Amino acid sequence: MPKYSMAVDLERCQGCRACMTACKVENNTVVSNNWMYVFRFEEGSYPETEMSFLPRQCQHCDNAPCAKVCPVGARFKREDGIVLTDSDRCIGCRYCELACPYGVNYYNWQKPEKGQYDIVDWHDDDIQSATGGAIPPYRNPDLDELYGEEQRRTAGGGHAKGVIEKCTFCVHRVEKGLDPACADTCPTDALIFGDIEDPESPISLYLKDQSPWQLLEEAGTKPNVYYIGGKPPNKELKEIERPKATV
Amino acid sequence: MDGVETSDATWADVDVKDEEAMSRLSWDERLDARVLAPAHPGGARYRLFIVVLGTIVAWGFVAFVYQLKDGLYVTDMRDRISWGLYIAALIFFMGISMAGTFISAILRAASADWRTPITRMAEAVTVAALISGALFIIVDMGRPDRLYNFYFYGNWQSPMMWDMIAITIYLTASVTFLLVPMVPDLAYFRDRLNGRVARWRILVYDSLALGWEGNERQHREIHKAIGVLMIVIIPVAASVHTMLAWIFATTSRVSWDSTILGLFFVTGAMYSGIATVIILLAVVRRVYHLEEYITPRHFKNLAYLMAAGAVLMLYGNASEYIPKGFKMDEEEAHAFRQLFVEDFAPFFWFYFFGGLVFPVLVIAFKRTRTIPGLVIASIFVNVGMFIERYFIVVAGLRVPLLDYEPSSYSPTWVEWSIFASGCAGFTLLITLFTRVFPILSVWEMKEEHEYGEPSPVPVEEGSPA
Repeated sequence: MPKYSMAVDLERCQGCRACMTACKVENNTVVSNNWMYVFRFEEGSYPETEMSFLPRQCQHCDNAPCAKVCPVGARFKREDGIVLTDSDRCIGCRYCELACPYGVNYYNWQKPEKGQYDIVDWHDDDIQSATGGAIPPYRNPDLDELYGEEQRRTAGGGHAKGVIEKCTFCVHRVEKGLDPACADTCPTDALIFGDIEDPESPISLYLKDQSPWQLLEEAGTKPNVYYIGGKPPNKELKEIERPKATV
Repeated sequence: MDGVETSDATWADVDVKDEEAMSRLSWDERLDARVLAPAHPGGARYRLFIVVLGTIVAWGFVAFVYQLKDGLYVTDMRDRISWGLYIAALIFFMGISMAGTFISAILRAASADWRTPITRMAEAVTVAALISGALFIIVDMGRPDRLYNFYFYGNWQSPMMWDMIAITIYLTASVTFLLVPMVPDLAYFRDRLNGRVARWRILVYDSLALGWEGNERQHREIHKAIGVLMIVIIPVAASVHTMLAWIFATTSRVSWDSTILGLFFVTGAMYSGIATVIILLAVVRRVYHLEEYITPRHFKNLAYLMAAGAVLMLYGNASEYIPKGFKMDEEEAHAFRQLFVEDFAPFFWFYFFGGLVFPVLVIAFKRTRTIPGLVIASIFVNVGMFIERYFIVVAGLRVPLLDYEPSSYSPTWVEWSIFASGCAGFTLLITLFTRVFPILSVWEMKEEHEYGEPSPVPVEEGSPA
């Protein structure tokens, strides 16, 4: 059984946020639900400032607090290390959101068609002529499939109102042997995905001579995302901007 | 009934407001008149009160339907602060539900004889508060239609599951603890009210009275049953409030990362529970003319217990904040700043001075330790404790774990409507209870009056002291 992990090389990351966009396109997520999010930090005061970036997705922890607290087992960890949410079972209590120290859970506060596409009036004639009347106009059918031994609906699906969701490591792509969309897209190859237990896998080879660190290691969550270079976020770093959308 | 001979119509003929006529009755007859009076149709003011409460409840229901339709987006909860007013209300009502257990079971177990006339009201508060509180779980869920998943897919590792189990057991236990000591009184209501009230009520009394005839064996059994129940319900009640606290304490949020949170919740529950009972007793005493039975002594004793609660709360706060503040790591500093001087400072200091210090001062001085004074103090306690629950939840979530900007939260009209509906529903349940069921533990009071002392432990009936 493989154990999927991701390495994030902060020396390579240039903060372009292509991964965020790729994730949005692939997973069709709701406005401002960024399963992959790249923090942009600033340190020091002008003119002696330095920028740094920190891509932060679900850490797919081995000791996942979210899975431990889920009262109905909708959040669970697969044998291959991927932490997933069963959107057919989630009761929407949001306890996982409280328990997760990384803040990577996103709740579907409203109906997907509102959360995703309410920025445009889809009933407008001009828009209907372009979309062929489809609302929402795009939906990745792979996200609705059942995956894994458990055969549960875990890929995010229709972002149904009232359930929690988060990064799935693109389980629908991993099952086909592909890399997650973010890793696939990264123009500088700063995101490296693979089976960390296979010594010949790209991630194992990449991490071999490095000394990676992990986010909030002291929380004891045993994350499966390894950061290379850069430094852990600290009080000296100031977030440059916040996501603007308010959903 | 209980060997008490009454000329059938005496209690029904006397106007309970006519003190002169009342004073001519014997002690037993007077108690009959007082206790049975509320069972009769209420006046215009009573009906208006019910209509107002019913309207607020209905309005909350409308808001809930709106929330179901559009999702929790209609609240101000978002991904950073994802629990808010609903959870604060849940903890608050669960806290109030400690009242019955504390006043009834603990004082019973401690053989505090003065508790007899007030136990029934306290037990009713427990059940009403539990029902109102539990509904907030459903209100806060994104998919309330999947509530059954708790039963089919329960994850035993989750503190929320522990709490669901504790709440279910507590609800069962407190309903039992309300009904069992009421059995002789239900039989008494059935006998006295037969033919005077609607038929369905007599059927309810009869079925809940479980064939009570008041014989010696039944007396022995009921004392035994109460003796077991009162011991069992104390740990059950403590577990509910502890599990509720552990939902928070098991996460890695700084403000909740505390070993005393469970104990602190139990103490807070007792504190606000007593305050609620004081308010309720003052109202019931006045509305139903129960001055003879609910006396200033009850208020004084409850007030002392409440003061003890306040002191324990202060002690809890001190043991929480002083050692943490002494070390003052970065997250803690953020949590303290927002609680004591920034966003939540008005809440915290109101809770501190209004909810803890002020009530203690009211209780401390003889001049203010009057019934109106204590009711005002109790209102402050309840408001203060609600605010405390609110900032525990919201301020705890506002401390960021990674270095992103903290979020903000202020409840929307939907949340306030549903909260108001919960409060009105609680009041409505209590009001209806006082109208349908015996609000004093008549049989125990008569027993005590007859024998001159309480019988908190099973006694051999028929051997007068």
